[in-house]
Amino acid sequence: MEDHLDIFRQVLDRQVVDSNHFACGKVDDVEIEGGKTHRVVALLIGNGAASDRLPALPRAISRRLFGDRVVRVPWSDVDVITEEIKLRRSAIELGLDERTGFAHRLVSKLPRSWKK
Amino acid sequence: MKKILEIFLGILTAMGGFVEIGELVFSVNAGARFRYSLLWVVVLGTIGIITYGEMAGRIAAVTGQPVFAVIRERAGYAAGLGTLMAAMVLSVLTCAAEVGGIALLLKFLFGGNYFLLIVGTVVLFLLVVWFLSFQAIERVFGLLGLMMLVFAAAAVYVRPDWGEVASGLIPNIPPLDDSKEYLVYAYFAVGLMSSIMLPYETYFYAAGAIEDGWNPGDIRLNRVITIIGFGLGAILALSLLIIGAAFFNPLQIELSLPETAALAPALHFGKWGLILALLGMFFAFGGAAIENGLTGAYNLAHFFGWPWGKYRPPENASRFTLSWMVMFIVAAAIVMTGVDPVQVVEYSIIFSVVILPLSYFPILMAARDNDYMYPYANGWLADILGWSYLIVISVAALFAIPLLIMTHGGKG
Repeated sequence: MEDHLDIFRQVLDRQVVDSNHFACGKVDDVEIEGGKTHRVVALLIGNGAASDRLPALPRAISRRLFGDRVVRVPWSDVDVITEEIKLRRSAIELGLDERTGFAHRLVSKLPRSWKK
Repeated sequence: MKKILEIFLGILTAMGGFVEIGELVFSVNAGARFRYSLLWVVVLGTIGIITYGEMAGRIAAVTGQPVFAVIRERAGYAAGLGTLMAAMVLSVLTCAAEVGGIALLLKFLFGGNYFLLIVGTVVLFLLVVWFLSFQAIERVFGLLGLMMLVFAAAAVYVRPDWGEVASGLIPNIPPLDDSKEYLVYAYFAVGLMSSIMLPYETYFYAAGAIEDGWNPGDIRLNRVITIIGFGLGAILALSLLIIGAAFFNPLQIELSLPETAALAPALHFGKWGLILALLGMFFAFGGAAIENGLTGAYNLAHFFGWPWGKYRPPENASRFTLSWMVMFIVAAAIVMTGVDPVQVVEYSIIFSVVILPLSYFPILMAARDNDYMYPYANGWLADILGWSYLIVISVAALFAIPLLIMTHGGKG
């Protein structure tokens, strides 16, 4: 992995995929530490982190509608950075798998009809 | 051989999917109102959609990233979210207009209750998208939409003044009675260009490239489909405008119902002309309705990073699947309020101009970025065209809504 990273261009708002290449959100924000030189400590994924980047009123509306959940992914869990950011662990382990949500329960009840 | 067939089908589906209800109404009415003088706008818009469609397809093939992923990366979360919300509203309105247009066609053909026909149409589309693969949907609606070519034949049979047609292809402002008419002319110019360059077309096209598994080896295919497919599609838009000028203008008729456009092929080719025109419209509007429904779901998934794609089993892309279902249901609810689909699409087309620069600027920035696209970044031609069109659509975006208000939606 590179020593120097352009956080704005190479990390923030990039697609995140888990170890099985399953999409699990975007980098909604990053946690940074350090004084003179900055270091990324974690990726933040979820509406709580994303809505903090909005002006006050849209932020309040967004949080009211979509909640303020944030999943913190430690930088040590980042595997490879290309156009996407691939993690070392699975979406289920990280709490980022959409197959635990309402939409999945609903869609799974419909008759299976998909054909490749 | 397989590659040639793929290119051939790609061109035909791009061509057959080129026209939707908004373009039909704007093209015919532009001809009915200003004869051939707005033909140049069709050419201008077509080169614009080729330019940006090619860039969006190339980005998708090289990086695997669809348009709203690029918009978010380049414009940031807040500006991207604003663009996303506007794009969602416009896609659902366009989908509603197409569904309403189909219900009007079915009512004209078979009679029956308009509201039940809306429900039937949406149920049909929900089943089609659920049961068919992406490729099947694209090909069925794209290829059967080619029945719209009956309008191209009718455009020859209505005996247009070919000299006037040729001079209309060159940018011009015709002598008009008063200053208000010039504003209406500008309104039609903006609307016609927007109807050809509708932003959903690039979102859907790039998503389709990823659905079809394109990689950098498909860049030539992308170029051929956009240039030839969209270029040939423009023949349909030109034909509709010519029909407006040569057939509807002398009768002083402007379209307020989409099926009225079928009069020209019906009068020249009889029963079969009418049937082909109506079926062509059914598949063209149907294709656009499905594209807009799916585009809403693609945009959400691409912006928020959800699993997506028709190539996945629905339960592995559940938020995406639920999103396109909701898009169709909301679209049906909108037209069931009794609003006129033609009015809905006119408004959605004019408002689309406003988000065109917000969508196209990030595409241009990404496509010309050597670090991101190497070695497939824009050449000089794509750069010149990209910047030129960005200026044109930004000017159009500034004037679109004032023109809509000042001309009372083109009524003068």
